[in-house]
Amino acid sequence: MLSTFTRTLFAMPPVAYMDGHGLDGVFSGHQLDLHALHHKAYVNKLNKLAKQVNMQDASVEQVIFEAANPEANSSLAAFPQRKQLFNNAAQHFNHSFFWSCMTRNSRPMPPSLETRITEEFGSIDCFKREWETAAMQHFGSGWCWLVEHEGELKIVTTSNADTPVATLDMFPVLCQDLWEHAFYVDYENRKIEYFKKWWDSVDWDQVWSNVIEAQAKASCTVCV
Amino acid sequence: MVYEQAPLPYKSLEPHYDDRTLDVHYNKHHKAYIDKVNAALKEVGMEDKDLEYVLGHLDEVPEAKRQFIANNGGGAWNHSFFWKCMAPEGERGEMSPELRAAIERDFGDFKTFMTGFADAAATQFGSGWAWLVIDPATKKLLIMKTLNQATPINEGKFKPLLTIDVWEHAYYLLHMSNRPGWIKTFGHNLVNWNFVNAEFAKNQ
Repeated sequence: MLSTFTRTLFAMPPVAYMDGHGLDGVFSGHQLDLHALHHKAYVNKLNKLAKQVNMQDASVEQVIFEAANPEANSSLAAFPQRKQLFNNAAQHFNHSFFWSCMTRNSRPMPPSLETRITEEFGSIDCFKREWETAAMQHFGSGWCWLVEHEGELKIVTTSNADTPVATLDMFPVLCQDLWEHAFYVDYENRKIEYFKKWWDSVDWDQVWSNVIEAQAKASCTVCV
Repeated sequence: MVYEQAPLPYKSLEPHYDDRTLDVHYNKHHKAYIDKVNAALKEVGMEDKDLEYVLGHLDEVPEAKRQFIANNGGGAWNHSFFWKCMAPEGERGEMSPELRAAIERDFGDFKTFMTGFADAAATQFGSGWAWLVIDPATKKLLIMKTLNQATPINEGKFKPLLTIDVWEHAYYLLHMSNRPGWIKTFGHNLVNWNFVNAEFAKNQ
């Protein structure tokens, strides 16, 4: 009998600047190639684990949310590898989001985003310094995020694979990978150099687009 | 008293541990933990306390600085221990008969122990350490893994015998994403059994 369902595997999205030529002096081609290996490993494990709980057709956000909130899915609550499923799903999302926040030849911040950030943080410089401080002070592996939360833009850091999409009310608009594998080949222990250089690669148009989408999601009480 | 960064017991661990990582790991990562914990202990008036004591009695540290001291004190102590757990080729020795007997008693055999240790190291998600420890009260050997710079001595009872650093900075330049490769190299080519034997003997 032919299956009428399409089995969709999770996959790392195509990333235009992962062509071996590096990213605007922020990351070398070698650093990005290695980082892609990490992402692909998470995706491979996610595919294996998702099949075991029949979630291979779910969106990655759904897998993350239900793995993080067992009351949302009772059969998942009993899955002995629920934590591993969460980690790999979350890392797949986090990395995909990270790639999408960067671009070659990035353009200046759109005025609307500049206005919003200035309103929330005082100035673009204040925003960047606050971000760099949060990133420097974060201990261990994790991520730095700009999220839309309760009508405000906030900088938060998460540990390991933890991600705002595991919540119902935090919507990511920008993120930066703080795991050492993200920067060690190019920067070794010089984290502050990584944090300061990274701004050169941020796709501010995409960030503004993320803000619009986050505001729409935040105001929609039924579409989780 | 100031917690000192002891000199490395060797000049090089090549080819099994690259010189560049040894340099950055010891002179930058470890040194930063040492400087930060010393400054923090002075700030809270605990500079006269032994670091091991502080790490086993973190509830005595004022809450405002407790996590900072746990993180940086753990980093300082863990790395000091880690350097001693490795030795260059020809200086590593072999597991003593006494330790081997205890390993066989508590894990079945050496291979099962090494697999368990490697597994702990491979599955510590994010940054952290894997450990062989002894409970001095029961003499039982255990494998543990700790997150970030947590350490078995936080629990106040275990004595570490062996550790491997699985923070990515410990192995990334040579092994890149291949953490299992790092763990295998550590187990086969780096473990200083002379040191592990001595730590075991101290706790009998």
